[in-house]
Amino acid sequence: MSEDSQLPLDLNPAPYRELTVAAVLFGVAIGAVMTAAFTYVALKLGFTLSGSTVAAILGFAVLRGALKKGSIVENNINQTVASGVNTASAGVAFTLPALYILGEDFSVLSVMLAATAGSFLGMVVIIPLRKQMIEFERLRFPSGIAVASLLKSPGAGAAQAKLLLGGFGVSALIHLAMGVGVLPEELNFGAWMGLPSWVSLSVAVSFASLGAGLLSGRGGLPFVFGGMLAWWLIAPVAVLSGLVPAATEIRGVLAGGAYDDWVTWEVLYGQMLRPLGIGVLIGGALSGVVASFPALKSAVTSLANASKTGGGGSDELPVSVLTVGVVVSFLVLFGSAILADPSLGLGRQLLIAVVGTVWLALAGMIVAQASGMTDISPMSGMSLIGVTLMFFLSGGNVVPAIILGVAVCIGIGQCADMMGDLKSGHLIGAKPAKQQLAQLMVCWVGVPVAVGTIILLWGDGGGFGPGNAELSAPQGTALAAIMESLVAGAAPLDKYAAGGAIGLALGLHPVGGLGVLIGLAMYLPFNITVTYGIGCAANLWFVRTKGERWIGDTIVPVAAGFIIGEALTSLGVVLFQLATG
Amino acid sequence: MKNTISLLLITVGICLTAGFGATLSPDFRAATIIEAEATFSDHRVARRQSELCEVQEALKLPSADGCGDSHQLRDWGGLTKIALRQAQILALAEDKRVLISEVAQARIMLGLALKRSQARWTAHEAMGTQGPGARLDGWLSVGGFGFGFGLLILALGGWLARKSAAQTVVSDDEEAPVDFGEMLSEVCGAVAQLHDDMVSTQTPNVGDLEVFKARLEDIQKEALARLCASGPRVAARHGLAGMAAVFSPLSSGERRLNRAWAAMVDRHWPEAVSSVLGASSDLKATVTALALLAKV
Repeated sequence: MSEDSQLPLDLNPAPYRELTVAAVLFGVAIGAVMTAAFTYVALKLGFTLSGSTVAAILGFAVLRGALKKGSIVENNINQTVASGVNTASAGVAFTLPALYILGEDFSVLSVMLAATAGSFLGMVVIIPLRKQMIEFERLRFPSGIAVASLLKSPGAGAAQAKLLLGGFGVSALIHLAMGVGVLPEELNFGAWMGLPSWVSLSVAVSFASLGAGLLSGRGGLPFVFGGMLAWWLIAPVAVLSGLVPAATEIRGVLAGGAYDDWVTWEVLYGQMLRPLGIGVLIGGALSGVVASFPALKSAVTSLANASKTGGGGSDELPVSVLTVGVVVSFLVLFGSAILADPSLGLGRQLLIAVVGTVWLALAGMIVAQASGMTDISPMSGMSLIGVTLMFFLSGGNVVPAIILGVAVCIGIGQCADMMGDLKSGHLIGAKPAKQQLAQLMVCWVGVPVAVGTIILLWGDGGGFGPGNAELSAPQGTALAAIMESLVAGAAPLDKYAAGGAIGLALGLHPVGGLGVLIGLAMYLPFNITVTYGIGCAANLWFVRTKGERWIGDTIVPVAAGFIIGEALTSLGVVLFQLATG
Repeated sequence: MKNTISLLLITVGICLTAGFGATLSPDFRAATIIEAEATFSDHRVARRQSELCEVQEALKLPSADGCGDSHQLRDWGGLTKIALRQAQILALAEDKRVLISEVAQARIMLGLALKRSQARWTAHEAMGTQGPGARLDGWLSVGGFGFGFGLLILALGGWLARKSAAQTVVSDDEEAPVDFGEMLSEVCGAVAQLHDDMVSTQTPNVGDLEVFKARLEDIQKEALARLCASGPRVAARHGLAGMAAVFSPLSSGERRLNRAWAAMVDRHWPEAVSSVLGASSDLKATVTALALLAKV
């Protein structure tokens, strides 16, 4: 019992603070700063960071600390807004630089329109799936749980706060040691045993992956199983049976591990498993839609009924808002397609906008589902397919392909971000409609910030790209290379088709999302999967020996600490690297 | 037994489909070899360059040929690989200085590596790119049959697993619904009681709030957690639409209880009371939905 236990409660306080001006403005401010900073980070290092945890912690400091009136659900709105704004950084920084690097002329207005349309589309297409993913399938969204643990920490009790801090400390310390080069980023047991790199026996030192596995438990096992099949069976068999070129077939091959590394990463991973995994992800998601159609229908119907009756509807955004959102966003995307290349003709521009919208919805669902099950997002693969689709639909025209790719990439990011935030919201009892409304109001803000940052950094030309030692723009450079190979006629259609068929067949299995999990396992390097798998196995062991409640009381805060610790230390390491050049 | 067979079939099916699916078409495989030769020729150039620099450094000679501060021979942007190699070969040939034999030898080796690399990249460019349609045809010709067979096995495994899952539910028929229904009634009653007790507290203080919070946590972490985790079982018994009918109000109730907890932490009594009331009404709706399903 606390010291103030006899303190009477205020029976007529001001309404419970949730969607407030302070939360939205503060979220926008943090989100805008993070967008500019993370866009720069993406151009320098090739990856970006999620802003949810940073925003939640700053929310505590400002809303609860300085303003002394923030509630848990209000901080959730602040964190939802900030991460929603920041979503633009990855979407823009991974795609738009390719247009500069390729030296293409393009309309900035077209990019802005596409990015804005993508932002809104991503939100409005994923909102109707909230019930399906969070309430029916009950996907874990480990990062969502971590953020919720953080938001709940003021009331979770001293013991859980200690566990959260303990997990945070261990993860942060290890990640910091890796960041300064004291610890390796992976434990490569295969290399120590003298095995070739195509027999993958390495474990990524990532407490975030371990934490995600600990939070996923049994549900994540098919993902680990898929990784084991891909990397412990298919890869060695492919090498030993001559499915991949042998060292003796290649003139001038270098001795040592160079051949093994080439065959592992360029052939097995780059040409075989990764494109096959993308196909399995798509097929698995399509079959998932068919298999869960009755529940999906029920989710959408309940949304529509709630809107009509106005009863429970106060917790959900009305269907009419979502419908208008889809139509307006589609029209903006269509306008962007017209501006991107006026010579394409209205028919083709309309087709690009329609397919872009449909692909964004499907890919967004895949990314949200994969993040929900494993905390790992196949965003780059889905964006790549989007750009490839746009490339073919535009008759081999790079500019509209990349511009529409910007929309797809941002939209997909919004889908995953929104669903993760809605999971956090569910766990702390936020009203979904308020979260959705808050993010809808501000999801466009990140677009001008991210695009403006790119334009500023490009300057008079050559501000970033492969020849620039300071800002090499790795993702943009990779996309530019892919576009060049597409122009040359290369696309692994065979692998996508085969993967799609496997994913569809996996949909026959009663375990939901099996295709997405197996596809994701093929899509990723195995060392990440192993770390995640160790977390899943540990969870199962704890469930058996300690029980479910112990998991909730002990493992959840520790795992949340792991995820938050790595996320924040990554940010710290990046800032340190930028500061020290 | 059926479960084991289905698991085995799915494993074999995934192995066959993924294995044959990953197979490279013959033309693409040949192209990969040529690309590998070009890539390794680059590695060899880098190695020769590094050897030349080591010799220069060992002999304490001024930096030249791309070593140390000298920019000559370095990779510079804007050129294709073939043009770059040509430029590097010319730059190397232009330097007519008489050098110590070790350096001259290292320069000759670098020159040879550059010429070989240029030849490999020329072959790579001449090869062109196999289009997606040709790749698909080529892949089908070498991996199509095995892939199709694997797909059949995979589908058979999935179908058996589905059948097995349905039978498991039927065999547990007498127990499962009773457990779910009983647990639901238990939670429903506990939440209703919590609401009644909160409403009947005339002048609540922080201590009362902490007691109510502890009671709420007990409900959330025990019976409600087990109820919410039983979705797959409910879906197997009542179908996905049935599961959705039950889980829609149940999840809503769960969320409102979470909100009540947050409001208690924030010491907002009216919000906590109204959230518990809302949750109670959602849970009653869940009981009704389950009863309707049982009638069907």
